[in-house]
Amino acid sequence: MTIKGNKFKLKVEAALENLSVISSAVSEAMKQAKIDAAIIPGILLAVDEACTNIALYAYPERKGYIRLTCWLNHDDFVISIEDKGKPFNPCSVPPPELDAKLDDRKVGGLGIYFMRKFMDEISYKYDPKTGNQLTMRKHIGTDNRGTE
Amino acid sequence: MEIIEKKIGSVSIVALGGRLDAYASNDFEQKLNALVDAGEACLVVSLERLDYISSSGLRILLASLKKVRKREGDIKLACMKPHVKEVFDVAGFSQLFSIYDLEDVAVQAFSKK
Repeated sequence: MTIKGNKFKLKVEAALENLSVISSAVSEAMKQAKIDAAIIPGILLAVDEACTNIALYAYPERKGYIRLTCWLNHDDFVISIEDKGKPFNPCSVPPPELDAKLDDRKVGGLGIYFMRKFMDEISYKYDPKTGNQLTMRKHIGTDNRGTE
Repeated sequence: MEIIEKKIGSVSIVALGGRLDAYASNDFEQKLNALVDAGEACLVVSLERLDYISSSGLRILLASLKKVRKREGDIKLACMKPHVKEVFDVAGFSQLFSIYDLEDVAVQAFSKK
C-alpha cells in the first residue's frame, strides 16, 4: 500500500488469495487514522465482501485488478473500490430475509447486506472507461475516534 | 486458516482458527461436507481461535445446518469472539444456530436431547 497525500492506495490482482492482503492494508490504514478499534472489524468485513464479489465475478475470463483507496474526509472514513470488470451495482441487490425460517432461508446474499449494515453509506457508479466504482463511508465522529 | 477435527463420543468437533474468508472457505467447505456426507449428525464448530468470518463462511455453515437438521442432527457453535458473534447476530444466524460459550457444554447438549 502506498500513501499519497493523505490517501492510502492499494492495487492488487482481483483474486481470493489477496483478500487477506487487502484486509491487512486497510486495517493498517485505519490504525494510522486512529479509528476506534471497536468499529474496525465491521469496516474490514464490508471491504472484504466488496472485494470478494470482484474476485469472484468481475473478471470471469481474464485477470484483472482491484484498486482500493481510503482516506479521512472530515468525520468520515471513506473507501473507494474500483475495478474494470463486468458492471455490477451492489446497491441494486435486495436484502436477504433475515427472519425466514431455516428451510426458507436462502444460502448466500449476505455479503452486500453486510456492506450496507456495517457502513453508513454506500454508493456506486459505472463509467465505461474507468469501470465500477464503489464508495463506502463510515462516520467516525468523535465517538469512533480512538486516542493513542 | 486452521482447521482441527476431533471426536468425543458421537460428536464431531471442528475447531477453526484464523481467518475464514472466501479464500479459506473452500477448505472449510470440503472438510464440513466430508463429515456431513459421511453421515455425521452431531457436530460442534468451535470458533475460539477464529478471528474473522465473512458471508462465505456463514453460507457453508447454513448449507450444512440444513442438511443435518433434516436428519434430526445439529451443528452447534461454541466459543465465539464478540466481533464474530456480531456477524452472526447481524445476519440473523444467532436464531438459526444453537450457540454456546463453551465447547464442552455444546458437546454435552447433544446428550440431553
